[in-house]
Amino acid sequence: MDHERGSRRDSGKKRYRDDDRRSGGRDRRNRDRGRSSYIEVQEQQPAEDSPEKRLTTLLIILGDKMTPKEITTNIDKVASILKSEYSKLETHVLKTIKNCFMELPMKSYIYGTLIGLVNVTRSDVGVKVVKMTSQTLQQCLNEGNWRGAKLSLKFFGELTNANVISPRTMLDVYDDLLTALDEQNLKMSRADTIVYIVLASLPYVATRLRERCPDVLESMLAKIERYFYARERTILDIDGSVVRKSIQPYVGPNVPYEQQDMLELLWTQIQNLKSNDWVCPNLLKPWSEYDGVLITADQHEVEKFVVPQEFGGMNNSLPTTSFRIFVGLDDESIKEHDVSDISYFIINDVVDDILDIMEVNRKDCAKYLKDLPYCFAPDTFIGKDTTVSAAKTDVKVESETKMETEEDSFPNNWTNDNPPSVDTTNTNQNITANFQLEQIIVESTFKNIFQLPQPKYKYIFYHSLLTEVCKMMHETFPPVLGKAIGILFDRVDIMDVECCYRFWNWFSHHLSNFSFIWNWKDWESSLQFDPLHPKVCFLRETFQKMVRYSYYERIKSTIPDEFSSIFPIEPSTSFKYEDSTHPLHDLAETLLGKIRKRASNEDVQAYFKEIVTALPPKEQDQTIRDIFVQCVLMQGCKSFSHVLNVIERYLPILQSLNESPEDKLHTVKIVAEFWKRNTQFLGILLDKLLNYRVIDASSIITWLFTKEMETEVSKSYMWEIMKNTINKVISRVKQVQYKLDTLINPRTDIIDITSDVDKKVNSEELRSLENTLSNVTREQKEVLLALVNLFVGMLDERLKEYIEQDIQDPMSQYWFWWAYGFFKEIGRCYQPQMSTFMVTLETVIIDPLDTKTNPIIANVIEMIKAFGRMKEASVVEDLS
Amino acid sequence: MTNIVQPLCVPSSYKDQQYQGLSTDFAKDLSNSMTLYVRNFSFYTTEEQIYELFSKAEEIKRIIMGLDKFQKTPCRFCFVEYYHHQNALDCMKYINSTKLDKRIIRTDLDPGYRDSRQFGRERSGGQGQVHDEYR
Repeated sequence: MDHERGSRRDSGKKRYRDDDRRSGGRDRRNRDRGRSSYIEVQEQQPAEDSPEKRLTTLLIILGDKMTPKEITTNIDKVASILKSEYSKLETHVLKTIKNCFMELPMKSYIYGTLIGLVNVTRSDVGVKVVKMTSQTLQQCLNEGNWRGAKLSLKFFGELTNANVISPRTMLDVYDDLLTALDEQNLKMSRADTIVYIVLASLPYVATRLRERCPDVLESMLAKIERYFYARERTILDIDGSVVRKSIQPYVGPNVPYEQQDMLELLWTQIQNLKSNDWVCPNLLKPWSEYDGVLITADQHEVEKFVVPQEFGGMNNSLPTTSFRIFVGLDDESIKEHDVSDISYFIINDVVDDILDIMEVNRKDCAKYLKDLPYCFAPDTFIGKDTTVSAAKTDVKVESETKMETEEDSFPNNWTNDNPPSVDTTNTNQNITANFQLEQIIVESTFKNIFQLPQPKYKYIFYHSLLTEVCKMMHETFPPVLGKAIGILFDRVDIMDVECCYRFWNWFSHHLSNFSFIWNWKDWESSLQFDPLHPKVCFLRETFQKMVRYSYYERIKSTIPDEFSSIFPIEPSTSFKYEDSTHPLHDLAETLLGKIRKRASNEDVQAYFKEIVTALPPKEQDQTIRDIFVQCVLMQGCKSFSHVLNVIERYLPILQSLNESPEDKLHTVKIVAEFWKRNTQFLGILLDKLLNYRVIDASSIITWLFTKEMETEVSKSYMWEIMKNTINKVISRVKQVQYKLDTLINPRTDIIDITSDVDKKVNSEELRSLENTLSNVTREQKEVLLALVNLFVGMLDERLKEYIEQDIQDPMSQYWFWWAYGFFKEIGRCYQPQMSTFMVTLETVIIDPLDTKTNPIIANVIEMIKAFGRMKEASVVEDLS
Repeated sequence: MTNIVQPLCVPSSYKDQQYQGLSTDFAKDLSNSMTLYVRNFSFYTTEEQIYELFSKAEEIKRIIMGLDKFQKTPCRFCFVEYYHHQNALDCMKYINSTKLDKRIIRTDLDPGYRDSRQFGRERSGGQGQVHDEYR
């Protein structure tokens, strides 16, 4: 394959006239809108009215809320300005163009066409832009930034459409990337990433490639197809379906659609595009309006790209699975999208990019999502008419302050039975529209919230984003979100337990932003189910969380009486010695009095000596621990700060009372008993006592698996405490590892002026850190092993009971459904840590039980192993 | 890092009026800050409600509730301290301007809590109302 790179067109250049489009023609409306809405360049901040700033704003807002016609004329205008200003502002222009295609991926086609028009008469600008794009792509490849690499490729595609580079050159760029598929020992996660960025950018440029170089395009697709065959075999070899199944948000035989692997789905979508002669009617193609002019331009060469070994491994080297909400429903107000349509991919991919890039600013993120229809052909979205100029309908500029006064009084639009989005009265323009924007936003956001093992950002980002979109699209969005909530609620019993948990966490938080308004009565019929039925638990846990965000009486007053049986108890303390008839009441009261008066540790200990003789000899230590810890909790019960103060004051005593593992377990139980009616306080206290090392991770884990906790299996607090505890152990390892790494490889920007003495100190520090690391790593291993062990023991015991009771399917038992679901989650979540001691894990857990181990338990261990295989998998076939 | 979209986690015009030091020191303190100055919640909002919301960003180290200088009663502001700078930034991105207990709360990066800052500084003994008017 050594064809000449790019083809240089030498036909006569026709100068593009733009006499009447000088800078005076700048579009005032757009500039004003841009200034007062969401665009602000943050880097180095040129003066507000500088030429740089004006040009930047102009480029950034180009295409925002514009009809296709306006887009075409505005690109033309900006092209003229760019031509006249370029020489003065070259660096600035190049940087801004790069920022635009990297951060406004929904408008790539606009910037491509713009550069195309400039390139007609200023091919020097074309050269520079192509060079800048090449550098950006190579840099992204070097940094492992697959999203950036994809967006650079997408921009190359648009440059091809605008005749700045030739279709042949574009295919050469693709070929450079796909060369990686010929490597020996090719990692599947690396190949997946490369194939994804190629296929994801292909639809934008495919018609051009098909027109000019059908054969090369064909051979590229053939190569990718071979990869898909090899990939399928590899997945079969490593039993990868185990991993695929375990990261699906819906579980079981009743899922209303096939939860496909996203890359396989993309391949199907691409093949459908191909059978449609590569025409995607939903894309805007402003360049096609200028074909006659663009054809006269020069095309430029692109340097060769190298994909470094490290590139690849998007999504933590795990596959991703398609997630849908609006599917399999008998509801005319819902648009069921055709997932095999390439447009479905394109729209969702752009939404994913927007969510990812704009995580830093949820408000802008929501605004860009709202305006997305303007970035697609007019009849793409149902009920969004983008052919009427926004100049007439949308002149009002939403000022920040105005928005915020409104949102307080803004009602929750859940109950709107007839979402305007499906109102077809004024959509005669787009009766053929196939997509429903609100549904896409809802599904994309929940796809992230439910992404297993973890989404890229913290859950609360997606929570606040949904709140923001509700405000931004307050007419159309809340009804669709409301529908989604109803649908998801109906499916909680086919959801992965972890997703179910994330769902109530989100829902309670969301309601707290919207005055806790919800039509609970709709769900009343769920109350007839078993108390451990996922729907009942979902409601109960949602109420529990709502109370935490607000206060008990308020939430109680918003929930219909019918739900009182599952409404949480009022938070309160349980101070055992409060009862004046308790034999130790007086002792405890005196101790509490001392603590209240901030008696010193010595005084308190002196008091212990005084009272110890009055206690039964065998229970002296236990009783003292119980009285003291309870008194500390009682004194601190007013608030989190109060209890921290008391704990800090009496830390020496607390530590001396908690030397052995049994002591620690006892303390955990005392705290759990004292705060059994306030699980938030319980969680906080265990967290802090763990920080102060009064108790340790093992004691908490042991307590969680005691007999009396078995009834709590469907409750959030139990799993939160478990995960917080494990996370703390893991983060200790990470911190020490980080310290050690920085000690061994100090930051290169600090000049090394260390003398021999300093180096000696370092080596001592090094030894001590290595020691610490081996200690915390051992603790991590021990805690995780204990956790798996306890889970297996608990589940195994239940399974035996089921066999005795002749229960065939354990998953039909809701207790088991919850416990097993969380076991699976623990395996999935801590797989990276567990994989480091898989052999021990198996010998400790599986072998001693051997034949007695129920396959359902062994499945989780198999899953953990399959994750490891998936991440490391190499594609064995020869693809060349 | 984005260049077009302005991140929400940049310092606002908020400044501790009694900060001892130059404005460059202030900016430097904020660039490592693990503390947020939080205001505009209701008089009745409890530490635990704040804890529930803010711990969604990460584990909280401590919360210092603002008190009326004279009455020693809650007065609608507090400091939330984390273990890492990044957690404070996440709050700026995800929690600032969202609701807690019926009210839209405001957060700002803070150079760090020092003793006596928990007391309201206005003549009335309170604090916070003035800031609200600016926004």
